[in-house]
Amino acid sequence: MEQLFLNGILVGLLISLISLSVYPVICLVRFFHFAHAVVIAAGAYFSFLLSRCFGWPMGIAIPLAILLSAGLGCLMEVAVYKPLRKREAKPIVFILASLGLYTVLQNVISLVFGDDTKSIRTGPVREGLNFLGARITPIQIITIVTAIVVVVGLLLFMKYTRLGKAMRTVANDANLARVVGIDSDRVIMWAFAIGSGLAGLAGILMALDTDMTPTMGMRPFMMGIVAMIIGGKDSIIGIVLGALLLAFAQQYGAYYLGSEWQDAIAFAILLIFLLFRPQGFLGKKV
Amino acid sequence: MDYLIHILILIGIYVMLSSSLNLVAGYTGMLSIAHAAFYGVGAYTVALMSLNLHTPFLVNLVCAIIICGIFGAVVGIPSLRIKDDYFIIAAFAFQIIAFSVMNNWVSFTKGPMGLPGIPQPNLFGWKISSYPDFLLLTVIMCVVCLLICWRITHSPYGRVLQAIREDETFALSLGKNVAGYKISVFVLGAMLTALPGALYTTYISYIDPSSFTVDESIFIISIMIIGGAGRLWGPVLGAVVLVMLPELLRFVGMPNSIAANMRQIFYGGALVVCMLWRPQGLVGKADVLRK
Amino acid sequence: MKKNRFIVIVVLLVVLVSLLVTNLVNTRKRHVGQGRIVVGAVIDLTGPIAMYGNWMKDGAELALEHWNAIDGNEDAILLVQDSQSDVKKGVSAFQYLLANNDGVPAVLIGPNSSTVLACAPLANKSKVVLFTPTASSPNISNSGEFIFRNRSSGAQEMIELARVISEKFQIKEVGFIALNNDAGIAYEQAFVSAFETRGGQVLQTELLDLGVADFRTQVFKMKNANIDAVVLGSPAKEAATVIKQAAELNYKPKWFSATPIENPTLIEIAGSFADGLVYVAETVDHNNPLFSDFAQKFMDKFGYEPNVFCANAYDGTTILLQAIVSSHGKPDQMLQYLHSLDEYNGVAGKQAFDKQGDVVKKLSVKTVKNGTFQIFTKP
Repeated sequence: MEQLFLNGILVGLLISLISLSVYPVICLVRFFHFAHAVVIAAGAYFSFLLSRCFGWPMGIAIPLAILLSAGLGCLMEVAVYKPLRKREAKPIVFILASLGLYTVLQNVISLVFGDDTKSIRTGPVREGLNFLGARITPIQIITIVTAIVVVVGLLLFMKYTRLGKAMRTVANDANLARVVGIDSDRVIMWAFAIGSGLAGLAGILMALDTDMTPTMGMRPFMMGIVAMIIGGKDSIIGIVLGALLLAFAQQYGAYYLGSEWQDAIAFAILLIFLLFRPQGFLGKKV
Repeated sequence: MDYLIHILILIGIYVMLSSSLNLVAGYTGMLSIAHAAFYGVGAYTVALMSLNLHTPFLVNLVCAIIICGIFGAVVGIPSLRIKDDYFIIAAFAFQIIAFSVMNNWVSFTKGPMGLPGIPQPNLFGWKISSYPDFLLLTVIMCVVCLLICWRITHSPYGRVLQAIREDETFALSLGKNVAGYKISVFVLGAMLTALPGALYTTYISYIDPSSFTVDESIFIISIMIIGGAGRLWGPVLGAVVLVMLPELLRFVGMPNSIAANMRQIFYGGALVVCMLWRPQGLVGKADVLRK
Repeated sequence: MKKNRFIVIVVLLVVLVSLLVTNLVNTRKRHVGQGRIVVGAVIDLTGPIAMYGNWMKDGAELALEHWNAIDGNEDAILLVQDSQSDVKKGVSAFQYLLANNDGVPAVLIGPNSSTVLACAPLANKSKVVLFTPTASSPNISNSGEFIFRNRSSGAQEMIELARVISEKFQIKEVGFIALNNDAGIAYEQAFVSAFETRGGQVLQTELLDLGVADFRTQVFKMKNANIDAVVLGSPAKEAATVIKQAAELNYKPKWFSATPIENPTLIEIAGSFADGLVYVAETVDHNNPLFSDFAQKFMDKFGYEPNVFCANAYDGTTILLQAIVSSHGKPDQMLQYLHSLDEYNGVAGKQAFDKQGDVVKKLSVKTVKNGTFQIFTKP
């Protein structure tokens, strides 16, 4: 059973990573940015393009792929969301536009790379290392470490840097931000850059573990959103706890109820939270 | 000719789906992503009853309407405690759970294997089997559905709904039972989806859960939005355009290897462009989608 | 203002409808006017099962190219429509092809079984042969006299696999991991009933959801239940992921599976841990000169090695073209022709059709050895 626990931690941290990559964006723009799902896949495919098609070493390919994902996020913001914001469109307009973006970009990936599975793994498949009676692979260790670094990094960033503080101000009250002289468009652009970069990173980590397909981003993205809501969308620690709760519920639910009910379990938990504690774990009461 | 009739029947199904959603979302302002789930409940009720109990079409239809209404109440009453964006997510969650049940409760719904061989409807001795028959049935159902929508929206009841959309607090201050209005219209919207559900089931004669996914819900919403939310003719026009457009694209010659992806790209691109330039839809009022 | 908008909308609608109608009329003229043979195709080229659709399309296109290259053959074209892994879109696509009914006596369809089942009543009614080289659902067998397939149904493979496991391996208890879609559930149901009639027992069944890549919980459940033989009823990608993740958890049962896993993806993902997997499959005989010639040409044109689905689609297209020519497109004669085929010698091996339109084909027991797919000899 140690294995089940470890799986829970692993999946939970991966969901946290994805959830935290959407966090800066959703905090600031207040709608569910579906096209984020395609950025996750894009990160993986950028790294595939650079490392496999161009033959560059992983050390160069991965950072560059993360940068390219960040660029993709910014591009969406500039081309679509910013004009919509200027017009004060309703959230549903944003959601539909972002679904449109998702469809377009996901099909561009299929068109360029094909629908079959692509891999950036090197070396043969190996048995996992023995760790307190459970098995863990090197890439899973890297995922865990990265996720923890990102959580801590983001916490410090939001608390201590000027940009982080500006983001919190814009998230809390856009009007107030304008009064104190914060250029909210610039801050939102940074949020897209950081969020999309993290999404690219998550995509690459997922691809290193379980390979890539053009639609690989949608499901983790949805889980990220669920984690964010049950965690409370204003608190990083809350999101991590939410992701862990979600992951454990899914793992143990799959173990005792049957794996086909994983989706239903995740969304049932979401509903319970929405009904009885809509502000999430650590969210502020509204 | 059958091809054209087939397209018209599909348009009819989506007219009913998006019109019923329009009551809930366009007029009252509750954007529900669970609409395909109700549609599925209606379709499965008709299919299971006609296959297992061999009851006549009209009985099945009435039962489907009632069951959809019950589900609407079950979903609607608790969700109404949830506001705005979160309502969207709550409805989304119901949609996922409903799909999961349809797909995984294999002993009851046959799961992903689907239900083949659903018998064609028989209305008072009129055996509906040919394409023109189905078209006539579709037209009748559409007219009934649109009449109901028209009657509702042009009644005092409908005006209260629109007031709730514009300003819920104001409606409350007028002493209106806002929760009651919201629940009743939500249940009504769910009941209306039984019509297209029954039609789809008997027309295609085969159903499986893949027809009632989130994607389907999003498609219904897109029809309503692109046509024009909060207008009676909006969903009708939206259904005509969105069902017919991909069909027209069949005629555009493209190399096979890229045609499929290109069409999807075109479709997604159209959605983005529409949102950028004309978010109120083809016939909608501009203010419905403004803050 | 209001009136203007109304006029604009009416004009828009009229334009849309008239475009549709004129196009329809034009297409009809184009296809029939030149006296070509037209084969329709409703294939899932996008969506979650697009991979199979594209294999199928490539096979069919190559068959068409070869047909047209042979002197004396009437010129043929393939009208491909995308069904987008969606039943309704599939029916619309099929209807569109039927609108060219003068020219489309037969339609190649797949890989989504649901689409085949939804189109079947229409095909029977309008007397158009529906031919699938890829869909596996057992329901397709009884879906009507105009529905044919040259892929062995999943049920046939599972019955054979149950025999192999209980007779050759003397294994009485297995676990089953299936993809949670129509094909996967069909595998599971067929296997369970066949295996239980042989006195075996399926101890545990786990399902894999489409579009998921983390199956560690399912694998762990198998491991924890100490099951040492597991049947995989899923395509290569999912099967390989299961095997890989099992290996990472140090769980190495005896793996069994069927046709869909015979794909390079299996080796790419699972590496050496796929070795020893035993599966029942339609055989593509690499020593058969017909196949090696086909494989070479396929490789030259598309840049990857053809699998059994490409080969089936190639054979299916060729069979349909021959059937259309010999019957002059008359439906009843086409049925006669298809049923009269006795050991048709295709690139995917010898095949004939039974009363239900299912292919009668030799299934063989194969295994993975050193990263290649080989005929299985001894346990």
